[in-house]
Amino acid sequence: MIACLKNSVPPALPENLSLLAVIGHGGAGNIYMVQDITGKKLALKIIRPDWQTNELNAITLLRELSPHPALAQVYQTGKLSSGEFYYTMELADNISGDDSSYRPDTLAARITDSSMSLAEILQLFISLAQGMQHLHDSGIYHGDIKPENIIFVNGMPKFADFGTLGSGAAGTAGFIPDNPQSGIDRDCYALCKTFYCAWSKLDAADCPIPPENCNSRELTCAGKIYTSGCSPVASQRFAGSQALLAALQTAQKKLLSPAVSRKWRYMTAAAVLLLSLAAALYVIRRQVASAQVEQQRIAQEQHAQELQRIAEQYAQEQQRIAEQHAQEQQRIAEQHAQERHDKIRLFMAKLSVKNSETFTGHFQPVRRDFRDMFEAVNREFPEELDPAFRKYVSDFYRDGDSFLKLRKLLLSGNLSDEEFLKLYEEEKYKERFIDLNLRQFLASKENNKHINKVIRVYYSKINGNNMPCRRRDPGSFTGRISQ
Amino acid sequence: MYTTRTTVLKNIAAGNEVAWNDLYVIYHPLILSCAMKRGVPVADVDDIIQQVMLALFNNGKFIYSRQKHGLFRSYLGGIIRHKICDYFRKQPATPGPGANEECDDSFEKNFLAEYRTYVIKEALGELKHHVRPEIFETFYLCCMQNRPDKEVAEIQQILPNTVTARKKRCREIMKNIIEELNFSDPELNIPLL
Repeated sequence: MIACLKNSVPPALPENLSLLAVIGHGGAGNIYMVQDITGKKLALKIIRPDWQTNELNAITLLRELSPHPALAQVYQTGKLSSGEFYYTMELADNISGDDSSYRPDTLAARITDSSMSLAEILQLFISLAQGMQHLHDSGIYHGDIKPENIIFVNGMPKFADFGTLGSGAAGTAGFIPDNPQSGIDRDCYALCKTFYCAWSKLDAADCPIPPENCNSRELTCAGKIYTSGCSPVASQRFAGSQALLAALQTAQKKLLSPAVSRKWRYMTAAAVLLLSLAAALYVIRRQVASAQVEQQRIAQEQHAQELQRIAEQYAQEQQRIAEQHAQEQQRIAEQHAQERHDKIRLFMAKLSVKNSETFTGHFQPVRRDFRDMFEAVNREFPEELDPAFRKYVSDFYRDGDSFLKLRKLLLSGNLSDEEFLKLYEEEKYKERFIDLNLRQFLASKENNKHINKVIRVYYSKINGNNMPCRRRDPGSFTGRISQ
Repeated sequence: MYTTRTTVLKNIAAGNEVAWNDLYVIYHPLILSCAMKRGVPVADVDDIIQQVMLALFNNGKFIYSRQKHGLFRSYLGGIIRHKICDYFRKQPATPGPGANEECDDSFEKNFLAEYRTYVIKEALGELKHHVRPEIFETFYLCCMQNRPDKEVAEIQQILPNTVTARKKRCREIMKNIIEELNFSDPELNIPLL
């Protein structure tokens, strides 16, 4: 219905706007339906002088914001010829049914006239919460959220009536918490209360009384919004528009998900738990089985390594034994060789000693009694002898005696083979035997002269010139020494 | 903030002008409900309310004395009945469905029932200030809407034991409130929920 201006004069509008009807009387001024030159219908609000400061501040804040689909857009601002300020904004849809009358499509009207499902209400309030978040993110708050101040433009919900925008002015009773913490807290509380009114169709003061015969599932989804959002305890209310938006979205998701009774939820949870346990058991069994296989593999590897090690040890032992055997064999062979050598040495030594029997012939120089004669002359008339000859013969007979003594010992048979050989080699028997070759000494004519002199001296000085007849040359070596 | 009607009437009797606002807050829904049930149009209900409040204001100093023994209820009921009756008498059009009530004694009986309902609602409002909203909702669903505990537990996604505990707590508070109401007006005879 078109409201008439009672006892008032239609305002003088700007040239681009034409007045269509009076559509409301707000606290801050009248609201008109106008039309711009393009034919677009707008709402025009003329601000009362005592509200100018608040409204202009609000409009200024709003125009500085980036546009948002949930905030009614302000178009034109200005000053009328009467000096009053005005602004134009989006016009709410007309739900009167005909163009001759106007009834704004507000949430309050929809609560009264129509029956919205909870799903529709949640979607609606999600859009509004997003708009509210846009306001709060910009550092301002609405201040008077209620069903009457939510309009629908082309079916889209929008906040309108920004007279209290960020001003801190009191809102509407029933939509203000007893202990508002901030402007944001007030807006969230008011929106939750508005949500309650929209869903329950009860008065704001009735919150949190649930509507009669309401669907349990819907009550579950919706109840969380208003019991938390409209709590008298500030700390239990939503921390901000983002938290409220999240709660609304959660409620929407829960509402749209298939209804499952607690019993079925428990059964599902139990089934999930059982499946999880079964899966866990299966995984554990697989792991145990693979661990066992791994253990077997490791055991087999270890066994193979052990066998290899034993085989290596056996081979090493075999090799060591073989080496030892070879060394033993070599030692035995060397021992045998040594024994043979020793036997040969002993044999050769004994043979040498036995063959040295012929030495007796070597030992006896010219005459058998020459030694006696020499020793007598050497004893009594050493000056008659040539010193060298004297020394040689003395040494010869001395060495000869010791040699014979040695020889006698070796031939005695009283020595063991080792003693025989040791004595034979230490006394250098063979060299001594070779050294005692008087024959060569005596073979020289020079030495014959000395021998003759020994004989002459003996016979002339010792034996009383009783010299026997000379039958042969005394220097010749013909006789054998007999022992 | 909820203020008990006893306190309000006492303040009114003491000449506290702010208490009149409290009185209006407490009783105008009852007056509105009574008027609308009896066919008074929405546009004229405010006039009825104003007339009733004015009549109470003119006899302010006697209001508190009438509080005792439930006389205030009868007194208020009488004023409301009288004003509605006056309204319909002044109307040339067809009277509303309850227009004949003032002509018989059924108004008092019906008013008692409405008053009792209204007082219970007020008591519930008092309860709301003592407990958290979710606890109040539990109690309301169980005791006022007579839903089974199991269903309420499922709605609020709490354990049945929690439902029982919440109910018990609310019942204890309501018991005190109802006892006080019954004591001030024994004819009310509000049952314990």
